[in-house]
Amino acid sequence: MFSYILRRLGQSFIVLLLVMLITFSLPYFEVGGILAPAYAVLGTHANPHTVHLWGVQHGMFRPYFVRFWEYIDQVFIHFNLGHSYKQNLSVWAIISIYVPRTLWLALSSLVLTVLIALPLGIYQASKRNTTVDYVATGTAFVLYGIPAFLLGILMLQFFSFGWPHLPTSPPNGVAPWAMFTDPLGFILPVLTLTLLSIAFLSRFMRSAVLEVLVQDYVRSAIAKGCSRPRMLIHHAFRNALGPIVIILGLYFPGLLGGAVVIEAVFNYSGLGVQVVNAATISDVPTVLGVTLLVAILTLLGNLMADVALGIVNPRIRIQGSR
Amino acid sequence: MQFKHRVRGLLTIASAAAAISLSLIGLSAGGAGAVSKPTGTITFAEQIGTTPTYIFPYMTCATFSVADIDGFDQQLYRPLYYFGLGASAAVQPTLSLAHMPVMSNHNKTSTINLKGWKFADGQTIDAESLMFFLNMYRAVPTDYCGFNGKYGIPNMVKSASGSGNTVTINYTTSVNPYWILYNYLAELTPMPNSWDITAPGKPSTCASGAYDAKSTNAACAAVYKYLNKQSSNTSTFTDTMWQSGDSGPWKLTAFDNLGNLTLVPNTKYSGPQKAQVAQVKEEAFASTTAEQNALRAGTLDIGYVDNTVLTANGTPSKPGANWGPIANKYTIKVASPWSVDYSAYNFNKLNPQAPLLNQLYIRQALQDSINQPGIIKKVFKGYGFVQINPLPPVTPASIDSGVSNVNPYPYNPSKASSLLKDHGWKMSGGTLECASPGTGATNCGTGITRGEKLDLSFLYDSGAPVTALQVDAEVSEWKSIGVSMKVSSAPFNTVISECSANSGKWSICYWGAGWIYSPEYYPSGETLFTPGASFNIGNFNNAQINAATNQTDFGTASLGNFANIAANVLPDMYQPNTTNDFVAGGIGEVINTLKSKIGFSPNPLQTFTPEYYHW
Amino acid sequence: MINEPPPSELHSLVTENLASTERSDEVVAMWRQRTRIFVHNKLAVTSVLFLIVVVLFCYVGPLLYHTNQTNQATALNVAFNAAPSLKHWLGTDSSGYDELGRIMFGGEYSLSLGMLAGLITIVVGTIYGMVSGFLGGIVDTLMMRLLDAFLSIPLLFLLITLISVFQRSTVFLIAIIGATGWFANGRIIRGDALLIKKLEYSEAATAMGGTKWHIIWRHVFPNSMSNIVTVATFSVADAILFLSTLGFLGLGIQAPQTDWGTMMQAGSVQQSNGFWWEIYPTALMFVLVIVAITYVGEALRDAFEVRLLER
Repeated sequence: MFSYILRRLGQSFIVLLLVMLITFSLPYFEVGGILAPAYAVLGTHANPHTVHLWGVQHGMFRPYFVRFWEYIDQVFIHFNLGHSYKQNLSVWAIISIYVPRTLWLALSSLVLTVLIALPLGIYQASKRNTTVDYVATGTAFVLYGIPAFLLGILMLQFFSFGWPHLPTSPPNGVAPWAMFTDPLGFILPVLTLTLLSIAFLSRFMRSAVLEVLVQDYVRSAIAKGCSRPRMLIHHAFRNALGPIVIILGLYFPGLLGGAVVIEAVFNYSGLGVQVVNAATISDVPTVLGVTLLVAILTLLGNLMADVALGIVNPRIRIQGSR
Repeated sequence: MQFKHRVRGLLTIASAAAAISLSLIGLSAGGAGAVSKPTGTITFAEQIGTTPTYIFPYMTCATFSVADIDGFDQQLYRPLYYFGLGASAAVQPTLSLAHMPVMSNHNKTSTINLKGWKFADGQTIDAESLMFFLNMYRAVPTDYCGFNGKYGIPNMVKSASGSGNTVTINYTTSVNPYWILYNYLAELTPMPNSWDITAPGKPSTCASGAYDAKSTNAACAAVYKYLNKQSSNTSTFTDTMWQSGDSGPWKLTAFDNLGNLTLVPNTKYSGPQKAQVAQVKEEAFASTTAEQNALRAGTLDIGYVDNTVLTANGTPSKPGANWGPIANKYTIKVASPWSVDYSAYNFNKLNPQAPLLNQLYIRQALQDSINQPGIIKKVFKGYGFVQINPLPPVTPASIDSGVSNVNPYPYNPSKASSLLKDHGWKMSGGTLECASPGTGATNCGTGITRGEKLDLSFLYDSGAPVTALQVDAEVSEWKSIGVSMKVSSAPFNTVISECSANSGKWSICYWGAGWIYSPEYYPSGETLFTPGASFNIGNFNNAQINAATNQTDFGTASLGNFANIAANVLPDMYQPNTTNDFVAGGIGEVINTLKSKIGFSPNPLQTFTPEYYHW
Repeated sequence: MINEPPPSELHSLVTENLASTERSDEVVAMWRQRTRIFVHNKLAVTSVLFLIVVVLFCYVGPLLYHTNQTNQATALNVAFNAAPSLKHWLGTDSSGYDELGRIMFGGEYSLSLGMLAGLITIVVGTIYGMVSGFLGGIVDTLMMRLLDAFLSIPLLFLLITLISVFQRSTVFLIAIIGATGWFANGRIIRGDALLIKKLEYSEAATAMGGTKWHIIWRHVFPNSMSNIVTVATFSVADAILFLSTLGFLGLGIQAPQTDWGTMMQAGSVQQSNGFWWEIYPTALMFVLVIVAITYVGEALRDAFEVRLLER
């Protein structure tokens, strides 16, 4: 077990280096080459002179390998992710400001999601092919078909400009705990994100429970006269919990970046919006730093999921294609 | 992201003060001093995607933006000469820290008399405060965005000295008084002695040292290094050091890293108009939609909406009906921009299409087919100006005398069509083909071969939907007269980096905004159209333009002659120019209950003077 | 305790347990049965019919309902945001284009781009997964770790970085959505490939009374096909959704071309003015198409999912 984790950690580290190599190399393919960010930062103050000056200040003219090595060294030896080209902040500062903001949003919607989707999934699976199941599945399908931005816009239209006049966006300001001091503004974004997550996850939930229900031991439990609710809770739920927790683990890091549309619609300055803005203006250090963070979280999520999978039930495999 | 640039001031020299600025002087002088205690809060939306990041007024181009300067820095630190108030772009002698400069010695010397106002810490703003900035400019010129190579301050300064309240600057050559004032004196910001340090409690000699002395330059470089480092850390912004240098009507009390900030009145401000509200809040917005939602909810006092949501047309001087959902709460405010809107031609030899673009008649035909009035009417809902020359749509008479306001190439596609036919182009399969090569008056022109197609390419900024609309309309017109145009779009920085690289990979380039005259405010052609100029990206070269530009910079000529030549020879493709607003994003909106004795017209130079506003 | 690094399995569809449901039917009969199951699913059939109607609407519709969708100079002379009328059945949009015609026009791009990008994701994913799974060993490890790397970069970040790097065109959008969408597919297919390979060398396979190829043909291939077909369906829906998100972020198809996402974004801006025709018809169409495609995918999976049916 220990050596397995160690081996997986080693592999994850190599993957991380690959991620860094990919993201570090991408800017080299831009139209303006490695100086492309200069044009974005300088705008029409950009001319050969100012661009060159900017390049010198940022050490852009050194060879690719030297720069990559320095980046690796800077990240792993000094734990320094660099300084944003455009914002007057270190990448660490950007992460420490925006990650908690998005984290609160993502976490609260995740909790809601689990509270709603898990019982729903079990109920659906136990009432397979009844009206309730069809309605729930149908609703999930429709929600899945609605792009995030459209759902957000509709929510605003109905619940903010219509009744009950909920605030259009969370309060401005950096305080990450704003959610508790001014919860009203968070209702719409959290609700929208929750609906989207349910649409995404409920099918996993349903099929995860379904998977367990058709296992031989469950069938024999029923055959032996185990009552259905008892069976659902004792066997199905407990056994389905494993894969669901794992899916959540895998889903969560994606939420950090995936909330971007919700953040944009509800004017919430979070990690997603920051990175999209940074990406469109070639603010390479910011994109690199955040990508690295999410990659680490994803890899850890993967690893923990695998370990948990082994512990919970080596036999269980998860259905789901996306 | 529609890219705009910061704009500051337009200025008139004291003796030549135009009617506009005279009336404004009257206004501000008469309106001085609301005695009652400041009350209430004004909430103001910052430009989408650009929030203040830097507090030290000595900025590199990376931080030199509307957000950093007009909405933020100039509230705290006033420049030597302040430009723009209300709807006027003119210099504001009453708001400036010095009296208007006096030119002498055949326009080779400027004498500047400071008024002796106070910094927040009580120090007098005198010659030494200005010398501080000049010395730093001499020591580390490339770290200031205003630096323009061989032109102006500091490279054309022979000597500079100050004593008491007077600073004298001698130039190496005669300069056009307007040019030096608009472009260079306007950019100077007097700085307090409390900043002349290399570490807390370690004073230096950048302010007091002799101009261009080795020791001064070394001291200034060290001071710059320290102040730059301090300003690179946003948590220092509300420190006593930065607050001690406040020379403007406001003091910064809160600044978060999202770009939200709070200003309160600077009680030590010496100027004529003290702040009348207790707080100004500037808020950052992630998207246009978000800002529009805030306006609908009524949580903003000053903001903007996108042109596209307006359903009624208006004109810059007479706004039409407002956007439905907010019409009962807000009023539209727009003003003329201090910019030229154009797309660039690539005359570079590397460009295989350059021989086509070199022909004036082809450029004329392209310009003739641009329906500027139609685009302004439908795309910009009437809030725009037809651009006919490189001057901003509304330029003060003091600097552009002799300019012609007649458009030499008004919208006329049939004229464009016949112009091309007259030069030997024949329609073949929907695209024009050269049937008569040669250099005569009825031939296609130098470098164009028989059977060559009139085939061009157009690269534009994909950031703003209105830009796409505008470009599509133009491309459709060109297509209908037989000009084939390969259109592609990319984000702003891709467009600008592709186009300013000296290559043949592009033919016509439109980054959506043209050029805002900033940080050089004088709208002459030295940056755009002369050989080797910093932003002459298409390598345009025309002897007439070169001579006229030289006259406006170093002689005493007005901009009229230059503008008329540039209107005719088409160094670029003129595009319809949209109006300005508070935050350079669309149509300005002000809440109805806010009051101001100077009105609420957004400034052409995008300055923001909330001290004139009250409830 | 754990012998096989299982992240691939995590993402893969449930795989058939060969020993559990041995039947003697011919392969053809099995396919026939699956088709029957699918056809008996009324909703699935309705979805397929609906999709056919939508395709006809988008591609044949413009031949019957003539509108200008590309000449902006002409569109400038049309009233913007006009309400539905006999001349413009669904009114005009904020650029002066006929809205009904625009839905057809935008639909052509959404559907064909989605289809093509979805196909790319499945083709690339299949090839990558097969190569990785069949070659095995160090190549497999390397390819899978590379895939891990791609998968751990948030897709939207990658997409936006790539889009802001290059000039935009339709081909580029297809390529970019295709190039960033195949990672998960590669994983799933690799799982199948591993299974096939395991069988190929398995003595158990012959012990069960058939040739390897027979078993692969009868058991593994149908399963892989079911995976590929199902995944392809979902990939198309995903690609269309992704395209719409790009449209919302202002990174979609370049005007005067358009797609449903870009149209909904433009329409949402006008919603405040009460111009319902600029967003709701498109939104309804879009959501129904995605739901239909997703449902077809689900039905396909159900049809292939023999074990669940045999309870």
